[in-house]
Amino acid sequence: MIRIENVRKQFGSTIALQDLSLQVQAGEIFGLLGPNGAGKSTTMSLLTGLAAPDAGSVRVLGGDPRDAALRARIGLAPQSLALYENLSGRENIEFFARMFGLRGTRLAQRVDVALDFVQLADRQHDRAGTFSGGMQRRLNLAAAIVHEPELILLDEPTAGVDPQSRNALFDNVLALKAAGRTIVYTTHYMEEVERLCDRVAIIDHGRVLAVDTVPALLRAHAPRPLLVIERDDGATRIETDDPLSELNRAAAAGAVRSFHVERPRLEQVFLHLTGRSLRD
Amino acid sequence: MSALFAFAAKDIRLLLRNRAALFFTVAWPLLIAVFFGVIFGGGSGTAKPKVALVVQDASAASERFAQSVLKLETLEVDRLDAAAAEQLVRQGKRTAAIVLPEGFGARSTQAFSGDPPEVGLWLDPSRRAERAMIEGMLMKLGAEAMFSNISDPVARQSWLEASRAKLDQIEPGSRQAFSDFYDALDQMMATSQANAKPIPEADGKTDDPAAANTFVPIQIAEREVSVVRRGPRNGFAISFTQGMSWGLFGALMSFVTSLVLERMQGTWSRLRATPLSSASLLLGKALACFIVMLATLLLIGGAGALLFGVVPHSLPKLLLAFVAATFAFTGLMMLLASLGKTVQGASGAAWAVMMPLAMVGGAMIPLFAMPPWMAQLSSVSPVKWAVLAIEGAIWRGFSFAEMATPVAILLATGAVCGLAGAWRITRQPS
Repeated sequence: MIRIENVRKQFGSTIALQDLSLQVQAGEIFGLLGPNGAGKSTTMSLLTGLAAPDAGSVRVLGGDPRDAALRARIGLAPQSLALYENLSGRENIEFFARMFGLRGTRLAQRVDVALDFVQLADRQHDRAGTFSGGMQRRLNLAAAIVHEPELILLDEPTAGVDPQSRNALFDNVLALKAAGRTIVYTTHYMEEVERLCDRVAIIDHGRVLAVDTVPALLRAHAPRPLLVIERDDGATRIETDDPLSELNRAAAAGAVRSFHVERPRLEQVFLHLTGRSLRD
Repeated sequence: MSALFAFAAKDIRLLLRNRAALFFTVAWPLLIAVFFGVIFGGGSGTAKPKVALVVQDASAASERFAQSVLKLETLEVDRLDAAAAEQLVRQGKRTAAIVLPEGFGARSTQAFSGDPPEVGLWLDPSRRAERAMIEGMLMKLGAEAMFSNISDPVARQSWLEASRAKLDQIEPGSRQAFSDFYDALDQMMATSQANAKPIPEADGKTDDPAAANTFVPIQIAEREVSVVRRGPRNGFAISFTQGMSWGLFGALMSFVTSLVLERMQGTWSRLRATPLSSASLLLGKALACFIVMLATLLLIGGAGALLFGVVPHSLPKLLLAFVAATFAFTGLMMLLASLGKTVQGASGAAWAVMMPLAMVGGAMIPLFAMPPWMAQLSSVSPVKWAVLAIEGAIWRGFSFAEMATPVAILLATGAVCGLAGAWRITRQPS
C-alpha cells in the first residue's frame, strides 16, 4: 500500500527526513509517533504528493502520489481544521466531494453517508463555524472520506477534542478499518496508538527509530513490569517478568497489606527511544 | 472544468456571506460615487435636460410654438441661433436643439393635407432616453397648437380656408369626406363656442382609414450631431467611474485575504491533495475574483445609469473596458496575494501598493483635473488605464482605436501580474 525507501527531504538548511524507510500494508492502521519536528508532517506531505523527496522514493497505491489520478484514491484529514467556517457542514462536504470529481446523485448519496458516518446529519445545515471543536474534527474526517478513498491519512485527528468526540472518532477509525480501508494515523497520544494501531513507527530527527506492533515494541524497548508491595513498614518496588511468583515469595516473607503491578506503557518506549529533552 | 466552477462558486458564496467584505466591495464604492457625485454638482443635468431652441421661421404660429416650448417645465430651454445651438450640442453642453425651420408657420395652416409642420431635432445619437422624452413633448405641443387653431375662430377660419384650398391634394376618394368634415368641424366649433360649452378635444378623426393615417400634428426631422469634444454629462459620470475603481479595489482586497486565509487555515493544502492541479485551483480563485469584480462594475454602472443618468456613450465599449479592468485587477490580486504569508502581511502589502496607484491613477482626483506632472506619473498606475477606459466608454467618446491603448495595457498588466503571482504561490511550501 505504501512503500517509502531511503527518503531524504531538506527545507533550506533543515533536514526534515533522512534515510527514512517505511512500509504500510493494506487494511492496517499504521501509527506514526514522534515528538514535534520529528518529520511526521513532512512524511504526510510526501504521501499526499504535496512535496517531493530530494532523494529516495515514495510509492503509494502502486504509484507516485504526485499523480493526480492517484490522489483521487487518497483521503487527507489535516491537523489544522481545513474547513470553511462560513459554509454549512453539508456545503463543506459537498465542496470537497466536487473537488474529487463527484457529481449528481452519487455526490448527494456520498455526502449523506459521510455526514451520517460522523453523526453530523442533524447539524448539516448549520455553519461549520458554529460547531464545537469535536464536531469540526468529525466534519474534517467526513471531508476526508466522502470520496471513498482506499488510503486515509489522519494527521492528529483528535487534537483538542472532548472525550466523547474522541471516543466517537475512535469508533469511526475502527469502522473504516473494518470496511477495508488503510489508515495512517499520526498522534501525540500514546493511548490512541495502543488502542487503534496495528503497527506503529516511532520517528525522530527524520529517522525511523522503531517499527512494530505495540506489544513487540514494549517487549523490545520497555522496562520490565514493576510489582509494588505495601507493608506496614513501607512500600517495596520489584522489577520482574513474573509478578505472581515474586508476590508469592513476598507474602511468604511477611504480611502484605496491598500490592499492584505497573505494566510498561508505550510512553516509556517513546521516551526511551526519543529521549527526555524538550522539543520546540 | 466543473470542479473549477465549483471552486469559484464556493468563493463567491463565501464572499456573499461575509458582510464586511460585501460592504466594501459594493456598498462602499456606491456611497463614494453618490457622495462625490453630489459634491461635484452631479444631479443637475438629470432631471431637466438642457435644450437649445432655434426659431428660423418668422410666422406667428412659429412664435406661439416657440413660446410653448420655452414654457415647458420638464426642459431647460434657451433660445439661440442655429450656429450656437449646434456648437453647444457638439460640445455636449446641450442635450439637443429643437429647430423650427422656415415654413413651419405656413405648414401649420394645413389641416389634413400636404406635409405637416416640421420640427428639427438635433441631438447626440447616444442620448436615446432624452430623445424619446423630447419627441413626446414636441408631439404634445404640436397637438396643442392644432387645437389652438381649431378653437380660435379667426385662426380656425384661416386654417380651414387654407385646408379647403388644398383639397385637390387629397386622394380623390376622400376629398368629399374631408370637405364635409371641415364644414362639420367649423359648424360644430361655432355652435359649441356660442353655447359657451366646454370644447371637446380636437379629434381630427375620419372614417376613412387612409385619411386618418395622414394626421400627425407635427413631423419631427431628426439630425444626429456628432459630439466632437465630450465632457462628463454630470458630476456622477466622474464619481461613478471612481466608485467603480474603488469597487475593483474592494474586491481585490477581499480575494487577497481569501487566498492567504486558504493557505493559513490549511484548506489550500487540503485542496492541493485533491486531483486538481495548483494551476486549476488558482484559476478557480481567479475566476471567482473576475466574476465578482465584473458583477460589481455592472452593479455600480447599472445604478449610475438608472438612478443618476450616467448613460454610457457606447455599451459595447463599456463592457470591453469592464472586462479589461477586471482582468488587470484579477492579475494584481494574484500577485499581491503572493506577497504575504499572513492576512496582515498580504493585506498590508496590498494597501501599500494599491493606495499610491489609486491616488495617482484617478480613483481620488479625476484624471482631467490632475496637474501635468501627476497626469504623467499616473501612466504607471493600472488604475489610470482602468479609469480612462471606463471614462472613454462613458463620456470621453473614445473610438475603438482610442480604447485599444488602455485596454491593451490592462490586459498585459493582468497577464503579467497574474502569471507572476501564480508562479510565486505555487513555489511557496504548503
